[in-house]
Parts: sequence; structure tokens; C-alpha cells
Amino acid sequence: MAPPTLPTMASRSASGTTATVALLGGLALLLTGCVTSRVEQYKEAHTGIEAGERIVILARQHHSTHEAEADFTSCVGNSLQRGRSALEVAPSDVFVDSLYPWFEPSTAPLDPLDLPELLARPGVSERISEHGVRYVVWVDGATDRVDGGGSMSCAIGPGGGGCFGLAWWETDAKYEASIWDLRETGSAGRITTDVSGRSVMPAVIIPLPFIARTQANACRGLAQQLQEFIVAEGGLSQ
Amino acid sequence: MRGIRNARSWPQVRLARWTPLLAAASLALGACGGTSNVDVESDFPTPLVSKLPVRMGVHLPEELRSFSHKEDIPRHSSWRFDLGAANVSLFEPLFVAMFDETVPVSTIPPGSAEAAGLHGIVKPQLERFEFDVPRGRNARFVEVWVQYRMELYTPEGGLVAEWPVTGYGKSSASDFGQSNSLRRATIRALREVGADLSIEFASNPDVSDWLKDIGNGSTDTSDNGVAVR
Repeated sequence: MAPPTLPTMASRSASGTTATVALLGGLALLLTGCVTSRVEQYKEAHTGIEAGERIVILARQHHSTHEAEADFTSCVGNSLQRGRSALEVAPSDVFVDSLYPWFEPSTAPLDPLDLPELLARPGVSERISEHGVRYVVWVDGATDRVDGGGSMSCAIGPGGGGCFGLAWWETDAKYEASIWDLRETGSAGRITTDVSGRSVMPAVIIPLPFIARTQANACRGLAQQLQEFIVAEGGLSQ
Repeated sequence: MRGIRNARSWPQVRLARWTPLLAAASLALGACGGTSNVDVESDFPTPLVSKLPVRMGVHLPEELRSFSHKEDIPRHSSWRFDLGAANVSLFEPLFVAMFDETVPVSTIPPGSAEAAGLHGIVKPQLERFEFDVPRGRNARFVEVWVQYRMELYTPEGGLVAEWPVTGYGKSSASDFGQSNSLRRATIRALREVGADLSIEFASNPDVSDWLKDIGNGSTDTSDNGVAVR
């Protein structure tokens, strides 16, 4: 199928087009779609962290329908290591490999009540101590595209190409972090974050994406709340 | 920018204009034809489990060492998985971690030199390999299923126990391209096999009875080579 050709518009001067692209590209970088976010925490036990104690961020992988993205958990891990309440984060792949086979999707404990049995297994407590890990943070959830619409058509021809139309889509980044205290052998609480946003992309020759960065916002919100949750010793939920 | 464009000769300008179209066409053609190879090479971690007090022969048959699986998905893609190296790097350290002592065994029953002092011989075989790649817009994961048949023999070659060990792995289809995602999903599935085997080996009823017999020092075999309990 031969691509349709665009008439005259694409034959404008190269310098003009380049300048327009640069200007619109810069503008698009500055503008983002609309985002609403909610972060909630439920604290069951006193927390706190001492020098030399670390946390590890692990993604729940046993669901068949979803799984927290690797770049999301690594974003949370990186964010936790920055700021005034920076925490030491153990690399998750090294932690899981060194405790193989006890943190695989089919064998990882699903409930804090399973912790005593896990920690009683030969070598497990010692290996966890070697890593200096006090808190395991299980991240469950995903970022999904929940709706979308509009239409956009693009064409390319010997004289150039372009797009025309309007497309929009909504994404929802919904995650829950369950915090387990290995020293106290139990759950310390959980934090949920729900960020939704609508991205819009109008196009008149050049598509202009206004992207709602829901996953990045969820990462930032979850990491900030996690820092407060772990560092602040009080603040139990009623 | 203008200077650079003006410096180009005419054919170069034409080529630059057509480059996106040619790239898209070559991508589309690439998706339609040819077989994508998934080389599953990986180091697997050593399991943190208690060793069983057994001197075990390990037989990794040639079909396991050179296992490959080729499958065409009609009107979509064609894939070839090479799992030979992964099988070896999964099972050799796994058995070393599971048993007090392991000895490579080339045949079942083994020659008298290989069989000396063995309590038993374990032999894994890859029975089934299946995979799925997303084709719908909402499908997010590539998935891999593997099923091994584990066989435990007496040193004389009598079958003591056989049972299936399965593994499942999935990986996001969008992260690194489908070939890389399939590799990651396969590694996850193999890790599950190793996890299941290292945790559940002694729980298999026939294996459990055999271990008790070893503990009692009664691993005599009948004439047909089947262990007497």
C-alpha cells in the first residue's frame, strides 16, 4: 500500500521547520499532563533504623496478571537513597540470589506470619544479617493504561510527513508497599499510592505530547512516604 | 544545521528523507520472516539448603545438554531456544549444593568405577517446553513453562522414583525486546525448577523412603534392579 503524499506544506524551508521543531520540542518538555495523586499509610508497629541497617525493595512477582515494573522498584530504591532521610538500600538481585531459593516468586513468604519459619531455616538469618537488611519492602502493583481516545493520522511522502488530530489516554499507577521488619519478625505497616493522569497529544503537522508522568509521581510519593515511615519512630495508625 | 544540510549531495538528502520509511519497512519485514534465537545462558545461584547425606551420581543426558526448541507462531514470529548450556549451569551446582558428594555419571547403569560408593543416581530430562508471546494490545508479559522429569536410580540402574518438576516464568514484554524478555522468562522458569527441586526433593514419598533405607544401610536391590524396601 503506497503511503499517501502530503502536499505543499512539507516543502517549506528546512531552517524554518527545524526551528519550529526545536521550539515545540522544548515547549513539550516543559508541559506535562494533569496528574492527581493519593498516598496513604497504615503503620502497625514502631519503626526506626540504626547505622548499618539497610532495607531491600522487592517486587511481588507471583501474580499472573501484573507485576511491579523493574524500573519502578529501582526508581523507589534510588529515591530512598537521596535526601535528608536517606536510607541505605541493599541491591535486590544480590539479596535474592544469595537467599535462593527462598525469595523466588513461588517460594517467597506472602504473609508476615511466614517469617519465623523462613528465618528458622538453616543459614537464612545469618545470610540476611550479612546483608545488614532489617526491612523488606514488598512492592505490589503496576501502571496501567485505563482509557484512551481521539484519533490521529500521520502520513509520509517524498516531500515530507506530518500528523493531524488529537489523541488522549489515561494511566493509573497503583502500588502498595508492605514493610516487614525482620528484626521484630513481623509487619510494620503498608503504604499505598494511587496516581492517575491524563496525557494529551494534539498534532498539527508536529505531534505535541503532554505526558502525565504517573509512574514517576508514584515513585516519588512512595519513596518520600517510605523514608518518613521508617525513620520516624512513632506515629502508629489508630 | 542548514550548513550541514546544504553540504550534502543530492543522493544523501534523498537517502536521509527515506531513512525512517526504510527503517520501518525493514522492521516490519524482520518481524515477518526469519527465526529469532533465544540463547539462554546464565549462572544460577547456589541454593541455601541443607545437604542430604548422600553420595549421588549425576547423569545429565546428551539431549539435555544440547536441548533446543524451535516453534513457529503462525503469521507472527518464529523462535528457537537453546537451553543446553543453561541446563548444565542449573543442575550441576544445584546437585552439588543438595548432596554431600556428587559424581558425574556417563551412563545408567554406570560402569563399576563410576558406581563405586554411590547411593543413587539422579537424572533430569526436559519433557516439555512452552512459551507465549503477547499478541493482543493488552498482553503485557511473555511467559515460559518448563517441565522436567526427574528420575532417581539405584547404582545398579533400578528406577527408585520419577516425578515431574515444573517451572513458570514471565517477563515484561516491553522492557528489552521480546527476545530478551523470553530469555529472562526462561531463566525465571529454570530458577523455579531449581527452587522446587532443592526444597522438595526429600519430600517425594519414594525418595523419602529411599533416604530412610540409606540411613538404615539397606539399599540392596532385587534381581530386576528395583530397590527393596
